[in-house]
Amino acid sequence: MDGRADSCHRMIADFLRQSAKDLDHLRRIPGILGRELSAEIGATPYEIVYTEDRIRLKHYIPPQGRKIATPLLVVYALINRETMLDLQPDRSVIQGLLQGGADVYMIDWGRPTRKDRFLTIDDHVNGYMDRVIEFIHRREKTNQVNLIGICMGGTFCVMYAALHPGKVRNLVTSVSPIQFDTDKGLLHLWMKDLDIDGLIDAWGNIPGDFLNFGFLLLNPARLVIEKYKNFIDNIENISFVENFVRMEKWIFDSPDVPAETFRQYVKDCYQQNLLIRNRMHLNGRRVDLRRITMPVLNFYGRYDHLVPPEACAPLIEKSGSRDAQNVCLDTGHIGIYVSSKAQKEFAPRITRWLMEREQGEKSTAGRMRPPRKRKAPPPAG
Amino acid sequence: MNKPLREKPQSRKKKPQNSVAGDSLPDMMKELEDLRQRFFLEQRETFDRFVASGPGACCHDDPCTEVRNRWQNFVRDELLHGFLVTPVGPLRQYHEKFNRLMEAFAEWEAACQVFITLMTHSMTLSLADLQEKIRDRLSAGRPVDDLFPQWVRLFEDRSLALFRSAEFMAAMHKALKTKTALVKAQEELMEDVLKVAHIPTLSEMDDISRDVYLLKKRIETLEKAMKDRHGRTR
Repeated sequence: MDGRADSCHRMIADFLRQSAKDLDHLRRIPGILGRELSAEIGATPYEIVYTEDRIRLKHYIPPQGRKIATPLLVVYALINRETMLDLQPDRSVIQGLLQGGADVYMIDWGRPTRKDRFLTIDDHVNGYMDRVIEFIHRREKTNQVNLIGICMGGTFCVMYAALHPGKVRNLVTSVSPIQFDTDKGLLHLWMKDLDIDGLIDAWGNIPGDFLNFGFLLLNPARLVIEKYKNFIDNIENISFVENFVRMEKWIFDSPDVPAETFRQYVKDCYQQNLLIRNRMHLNGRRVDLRRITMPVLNFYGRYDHLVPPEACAPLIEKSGSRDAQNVCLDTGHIGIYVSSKAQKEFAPRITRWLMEREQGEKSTAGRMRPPRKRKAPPPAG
Repeated sequence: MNKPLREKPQSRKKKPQNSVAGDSLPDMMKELEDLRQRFFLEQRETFDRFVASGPGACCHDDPCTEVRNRWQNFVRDELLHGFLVTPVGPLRQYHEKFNRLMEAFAEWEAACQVFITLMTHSMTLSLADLQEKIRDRLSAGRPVDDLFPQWVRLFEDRSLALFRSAEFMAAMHKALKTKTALVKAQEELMEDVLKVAHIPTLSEMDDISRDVYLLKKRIETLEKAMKDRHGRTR
């Protein structure tokens, strides 16, 4: 009974001590957030070289010269903004690619307005993306680009590469869903019976705030409660606060998604899983993944709760490429781009892989695809 | 478009004949006294359940459901009942639209309540789990520390299990469905207001946007065809 009383007293004392500390930290928040914080995102210098409607094409020049001759085009998702790839100077995928000698172009999809509600996936893939790539061809006097697609942007890149294989030299996809018929991710489950027609008829474009709410709902314990508790705990650590504010700036900067694009994405991909079955059509043209014959490097996160490994990994099996490989990183959906561990792996691995293919070392080395039996490592937890 | 007369909601229970107070003043006073006692008794029972200690203290889903049902009955039977009469006269169509908005709001509110209750339920269950854990540890004389991380883990487990359940998905889809119905009802009414003020409505703007979009597509196709034709003739 004494042991129990001791434990009880210690627990209450710990709780009171922690509460007092938390209260003290809470009192300091206004003072710290009132200071001038260095929380700029997307700080790497770039120039806008092409604009069309709401779309802008950013061009970053490698400071130490170009080591990879073929220009590299980064296609981000329509959900959230591409600034995540350049969140802070020491955690920037863009900087990593530049340091690896890539000449980087990146599409900024801008902020869709009501008038953009009729734009379909075809308008983004065979319209904007194709015109941007044509522009890069003319500017760089080349006829191919290396493509990197992030999340939904990766799915778009897969579609583009399947429809225009001659224009893509190498394809890199990162946390890009291809196999939508999985029950591993909550998003995949929720989307199955979503009345997307009703949503679009009522709202038009899908509001970014609505999508944010959905993403937070995927794991409120971590994304709403623990995250802000950590912030309170670390309020005296200015570097932590600045990184936190940067992430907040990015997360809650969500443009709306054009209505028809979202409708098609949900219906054709999430609900009917047409892409992986080579039955998806863009403006009457069938997207056949077997036409992806260029080298493919496919990244995904082992702990990704939004796009689980099962949704990404099958790309290499379904593509027609003889040089395709999966890379599973021990991180989550966002961690691939912002965690310090993944920073050392993600961009350097891409530039190394591109350089190897550029030098032709492995371009004719036979089938590099792992045997079909090999399955993606299961997500932990 | 003619809306039939709204039926009396089924849930409105008729008072049993034997419970009707007599006409005399003492009978009415007695009825009032009974009502007052029932009211305080219910309050006290609810309060007792809230302050009860132990894991059961958190599992107060019954009062939540009860409160929610009572509120919904009140909205439907008392509040809306006064508004939702069959519209007649020259302003009938506006009245109908207003009625649709009111009904959509009531349905959305009810669906939201179910959704929010489900959400908070996983939190209350995780708190009950934590209480259980604390009790076990105290019984074993083991130290109880890191309460917050433990609770976050428990809450995560509970909520992720909930989010995969058919019950949650049905509640979420209903909340979304009623929300879209509400937005549409608001929009219908707003269109009338904008028309009166000679301001273009959203549907009119959408029509223009669609025309511009289709025209751009046609121009693209024509330009491409012309380019191909020039290429062939050269």
